[in-house]
Amino acid sequence: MVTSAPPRPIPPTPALDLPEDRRYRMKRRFLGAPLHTAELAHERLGKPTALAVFASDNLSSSAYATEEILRVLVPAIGVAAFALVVPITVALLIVLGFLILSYRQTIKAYPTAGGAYIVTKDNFGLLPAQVAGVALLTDYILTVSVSVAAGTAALTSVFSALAPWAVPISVAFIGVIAFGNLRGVKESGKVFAVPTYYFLINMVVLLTVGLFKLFLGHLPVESLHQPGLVHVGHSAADGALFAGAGIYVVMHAFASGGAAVTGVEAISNGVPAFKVPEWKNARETLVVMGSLLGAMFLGLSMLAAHLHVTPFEAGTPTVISQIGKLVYGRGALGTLLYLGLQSGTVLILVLAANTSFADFPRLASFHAGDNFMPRQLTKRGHRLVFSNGIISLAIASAVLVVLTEAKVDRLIPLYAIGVFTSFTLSQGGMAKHHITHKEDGWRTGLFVNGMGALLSLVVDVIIAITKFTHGAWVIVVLVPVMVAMLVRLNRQYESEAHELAADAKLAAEAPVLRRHVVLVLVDSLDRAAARALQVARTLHPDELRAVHIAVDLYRAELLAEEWRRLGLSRLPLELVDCPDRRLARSVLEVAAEATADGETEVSVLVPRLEHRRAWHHLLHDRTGETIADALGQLDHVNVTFVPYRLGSRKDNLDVSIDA
Amino acid sequence: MSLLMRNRRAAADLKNARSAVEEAAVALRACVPIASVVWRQPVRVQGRVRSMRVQPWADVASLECTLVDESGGITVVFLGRRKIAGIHPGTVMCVEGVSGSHRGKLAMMNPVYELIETPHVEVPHH
Repeated sequence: MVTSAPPRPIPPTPALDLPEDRRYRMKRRFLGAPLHTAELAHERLGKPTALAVFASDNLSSSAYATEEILRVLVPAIGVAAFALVVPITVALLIVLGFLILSYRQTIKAYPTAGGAYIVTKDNFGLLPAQVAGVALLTDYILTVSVSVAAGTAALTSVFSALAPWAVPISVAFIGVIAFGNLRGVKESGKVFAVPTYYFLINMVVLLTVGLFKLFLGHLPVESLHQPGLVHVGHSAADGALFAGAGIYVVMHAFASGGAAVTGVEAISNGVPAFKVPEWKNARETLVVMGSLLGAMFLGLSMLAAHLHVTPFEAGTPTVISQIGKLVYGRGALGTLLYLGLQSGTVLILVLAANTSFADFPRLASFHAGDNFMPRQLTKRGHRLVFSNGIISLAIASAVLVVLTEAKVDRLIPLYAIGVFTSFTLSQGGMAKHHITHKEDGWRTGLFVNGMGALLSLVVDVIIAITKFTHGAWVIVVLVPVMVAMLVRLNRQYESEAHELAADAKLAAEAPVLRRHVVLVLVDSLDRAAARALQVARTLHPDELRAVHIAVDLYRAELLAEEWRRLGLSRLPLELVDCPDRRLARSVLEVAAEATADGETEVSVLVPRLEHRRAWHHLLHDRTGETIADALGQLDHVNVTFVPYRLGSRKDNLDVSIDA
Repeated sequence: MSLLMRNRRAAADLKNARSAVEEAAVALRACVPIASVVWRQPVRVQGRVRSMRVQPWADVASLECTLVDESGGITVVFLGRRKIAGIHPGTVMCVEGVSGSHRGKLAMMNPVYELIETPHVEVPHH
């Protein structure tokens, strides 16, 4: 047996020696080398690190919750506010306590992924899950906006000269966080630990010093008559306080403080990231987080109540900053501690925004995976993160920050409704889970989750009613509208999938059409056209012709003249009249005529220039693409682009152009 | 009635009679809608050249056009010709001949043609 050359092994990498395009090179420089899909391995977090990673959103709420309560109370009822702030805080802590207990149940029942979306979907079905999901998504956007705005306020409390730049600073924070997440900061759990524990230590110092001085009676009382403070209302008589209007004010303050509870769900979303035994560790971390938040929130409210700290109209300096100044005094050590407190607050708030950047894209990918959101949200990007979700979140939250001029008190009314809606649904889902599965201790679980659902519902309704006119209506309107949109989107996806799947096997076995006609679009007789003709002749169709749309008769005649001189056999050129200069329409007519007999498959070959530089594209219109789009409307008409790479004269062209 | 008036009327009658004859003459050679053309009948149609086929040198010399009016289209083939002055895409012409078939389609081979309107070919200045 004679062979021309003995076969050799194939080379390790395909013989592809192309430079990466500029966009990819930029991306690589910007985001670093791409991560391999196999690197998706979950990093397991120990409890201290997990606390830092998941709790920042929740713990950071203590930085503004007391302030938001006071902001409602002080203008309405004046000095009496300071008597009510602690009871309201305690009420919120009771809600928090029940939520912690409820989520302990969720973590045990759904150790793989216990987000509101999954729990609701599992127990109530897809539609309620959309409500829970959308509500939570809006709140993730708000978490970013609120945290960043509050972080900026903490910054401007120290450097008051920066106050006019609050919006650009906030947007810059969002940009930095989004960038970090696109690079994939999630890998380094340790990075999270530093700011979280730094904040915690500062808070412990503040509360210890503050409460110590409080018991010794060393603390001053802040004047209520500084310029820039919110208007201080008149203190009503104690009896009248609990009349209708008074209760409404208390409810409103309670609703505003509800922001403190947000972020409780974060741990239940991330149980798989814990070290074995995951659910046990997650539960313990949850309890630690709740206790820490409770202690800080209560401590700050007690100090604020005693010091008569009043929020400023502009939102800066913040209540926590005023407390810090009063507790630490004006000494060198005091100033140092104060700066530590403020920097810790800024860091934890920025980190809280970061939590949303982990949760929002994942939740959006759940929605998209169930065909309720655009598919692009399920795709992992360059660094294995859901890049599209990250970018969407960054844009949405930045827009919100700009619209509200980075003012926390304007954002707060929108906040927390979504979270409590999703709490209600997911706890309700858990209650149903207990009834359905009846595992050990299901009665206790039912009670806990039922109470959790009920409390969440009550809080949700209170928030919606009291904050409705302040901006909550936006969310009350937006969530149903969004859900309706997602359902519509889902119907579209489902109908597409249904159509594509219908009789697919039968369709695959359908007989081929009898005839194949190949049309080559020729604008002028150049190398690009020659390349397309070369390809066309390898197809050996039943009929082959070149088609020129004669928009300019002079050029058409010149081409015809050149064509006549060609030595190509059986390759006629068709000149098509085009009095209205609509190229795509004329091609469409030619193709439609070719398929008119119902037994012809038509391939249209379109020469296309491939440019070496992006701007070269601007020198040409996209006629070929326009034609291809138009031809997509016809059955049995298929478009093939034949590329001609400009700047490559080396190609082996065996078509002789000049006869 | 004056003599002058009578003369005028006679002149008008003569003019009417003449135009009627002309109309009849035109009617005899009248064009029919392309859709009504039947195979193997002498026929005269008028239409616009929607497309024309240019054969390369290696093939048999022929010029093939698709002539269309509002009702339909027909293939017109000029055998032995590579090009005909005045026939471009967009030319309006009248063709007269016997309908036949070419490549399975209704066609007229080497018909008598009359150019009605040729598109203006704009030659660039340079």
